[in-house]
Amino acid sequence: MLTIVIRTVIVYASVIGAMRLMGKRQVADMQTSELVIALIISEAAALPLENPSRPLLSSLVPVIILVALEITISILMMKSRRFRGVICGHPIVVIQNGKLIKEEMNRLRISYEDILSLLRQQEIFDIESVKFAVIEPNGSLSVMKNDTGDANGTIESEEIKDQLNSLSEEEQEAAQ
Amino acid sequence: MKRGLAVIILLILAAILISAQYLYVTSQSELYIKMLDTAEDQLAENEVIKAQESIEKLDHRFVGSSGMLKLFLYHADVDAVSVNLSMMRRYIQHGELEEYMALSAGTKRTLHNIRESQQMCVHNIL
Repeated sequence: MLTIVIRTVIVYASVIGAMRLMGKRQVADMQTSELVIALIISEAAALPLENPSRPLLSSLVPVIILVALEITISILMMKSRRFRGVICGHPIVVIQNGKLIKEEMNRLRISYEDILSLLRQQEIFDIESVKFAVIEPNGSLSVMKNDTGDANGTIESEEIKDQLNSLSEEEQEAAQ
Repeated sequence: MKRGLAVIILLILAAILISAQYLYVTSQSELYIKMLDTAEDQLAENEVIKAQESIEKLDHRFVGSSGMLKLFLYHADVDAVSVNLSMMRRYIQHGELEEYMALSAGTKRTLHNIRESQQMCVHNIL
């Protein structure tokens, strides 16, 4: 039984060390890859605790490799916007100037009621008061209201600007 | 930069542990299979005393290295080989050579499987 106690302490210290090295955030703020890695690490680390016959190294080595992978991916995501898009996805504008962008909603498989629910959670009950609403890669909704103090009313994000530009071009073509 | 260095250190550590496991387990498995083959050859030539000494030496050696093996392998697998070796010693001491040969074949297969489990091949990955 004492061996299990010692194993537990070793595994706990290793997982804490791994999480500190990766610089974890709250679950709600995690990117997809971070959440996947955290889940896999917890599963791998628990195996030698469930089965004392299992060598400790058979769990610690995968944890080490997962931590190295996660740090590498996070460095690559910092350096490459395209890579970040592949791993995490892009923020998507779903409301612009009080109007829902149905194509993006369909792409995200998100309904009108879902959008209203997310708005209500931010104490917004009138969709027309929204200048921009963005679904973030982690699934949360960010909102810029019409009465925001920013005179230009722009969003500092290359990805969102690209999306808005492409929407503007489509609107112009539709008007013609 | 610090994180990059952390990645390199972690990968080196993982590489060292993986290499150590592969080299140690593979070499020990091959050694024990060879020792079992030697004992079988001695029995085939009716050198029962020599075969008994070989098996005792093998058993003693295996017990000594089982601690290290248990760092890398499932303890149950290592214990199974250890139990088989002690049974083989008894069989050969009591002249039960048929039982000895059957157990020797099973033990060699187990050691062979242990060695194969360390190889980089498709069926190990999948």
